[in-house]
Amino acid sequence: MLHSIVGSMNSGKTLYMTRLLNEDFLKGRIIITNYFVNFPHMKINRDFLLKLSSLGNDDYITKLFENNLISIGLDELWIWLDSRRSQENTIATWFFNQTSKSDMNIYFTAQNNKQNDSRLRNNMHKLTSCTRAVKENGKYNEISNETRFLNQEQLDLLYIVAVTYKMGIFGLEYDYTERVRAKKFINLYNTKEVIKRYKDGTN
Amino acid sequence: MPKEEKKQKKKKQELNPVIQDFRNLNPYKVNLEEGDIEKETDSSSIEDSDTYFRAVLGELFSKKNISSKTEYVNQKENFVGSKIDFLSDYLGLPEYHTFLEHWEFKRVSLNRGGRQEIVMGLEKRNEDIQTVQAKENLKKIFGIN
Repeated sequence: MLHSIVGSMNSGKTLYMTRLLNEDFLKGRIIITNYFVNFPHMKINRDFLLKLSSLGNDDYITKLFENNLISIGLDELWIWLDSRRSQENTIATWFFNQTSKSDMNIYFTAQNNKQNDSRLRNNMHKLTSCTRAVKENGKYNEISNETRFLNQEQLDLLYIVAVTYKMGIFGLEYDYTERVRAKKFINLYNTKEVIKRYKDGTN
Repeated sequence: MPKEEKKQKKKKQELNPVIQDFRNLNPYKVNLEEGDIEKETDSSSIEDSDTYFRAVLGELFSKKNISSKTEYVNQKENFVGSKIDFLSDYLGLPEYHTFLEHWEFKRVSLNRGGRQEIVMGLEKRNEDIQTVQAKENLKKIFGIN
C-alpha cells in the first residue's frame, strides 16, 4: 500500500507515520525508515534506496523482501526524489511495483502532495492529511502549527487530527478520521531530526 | 517456493499468535489508554474544511478529473480564468490563506448520474448563502451538470 501523509510544517505528519510504523512493527513487519525511530528498524539512505530499486529478481535482498512483510517509512521523501532525474524514476516505479505485487506498506510524508512525484500521487492507495488540535470541553480545536516544540503542558493537551482518504473508482473518497494523543507517540522518534538532501552527501 | 505458498507463509507470520504475544509484551508497545486514539468513519464529523480542501481538491486536480474549460469565480466577486489556474493558485500556501479569508468550503451532496456524492462546495464567508449556492459555485468551478 502506498500511503501519502501530508500537512503543513509541525502538523504531526512524522508522528502519525511513526505511529503507523509502530503498529506494523507490533504485527511482525520489518521496519525500514530514513529517520530514527525508537523501535527495531533499519535506517537507510538515498543511495540504498536507489540500489534497492535497481536490483534484479534473483538478488538476495529482493528475495528477502519477497519472503517477509515489510513497512517502509520515508519522511519528506520529496527531498530525495526529483522527477527530472532518471535515477529517481526507478525508485518511484519500484515503489509502485512493490506495493502492487507484494504486501509492502510504503508511507511517505510531504507538506503538500504536489511535492511528491506524480507517479506516487497517481498510484497512491491512501492519503492522510494532518493537523494539530487541542481537546477542550470534549471538542477538538485546531491550533497553529507555528510553534514546533511545545512545553509539557501544551503537549499534554495536543492531538494530531488525521483525516484519511482512500482511492476509489471516482477518485478520492473519505475513509476515516483519527485523533491521536501526541504525547503517547512523541518518544518514538526524534522530533529534531532533519532529513538531509542527497547533495549533502550524508543521506 | 511457489507463489501461493509464499503468500500463505506471509499470512502465517502476521497471524501467528505466538509472535503477536511476543510483540505485545515487548517494550516498544505503546501503552494506550481510553481516549488516546479516537477513530470515526462519519464524514460529517470533519471539522477542518482547510484540511479537507487541501486533500480532496488537490487530488482532484492531480487526477485531472476536472475539465479545464470551466470558468471559476475569483475570490472577491467572480472567478475568472481556467480551473487549473485557480487550483494552482490556491493550492499554494500564501494564496490559499488569502482565499480562505473570503471563502470557505462546505460539504455538499451532488447527484452525479444517479449517484450521490459528497463533494466540497464553496460559500462566501460572513454571508447567509444557502447550500444551494454552494452547489452552484461548485458546479461552475468543476463543470458538473
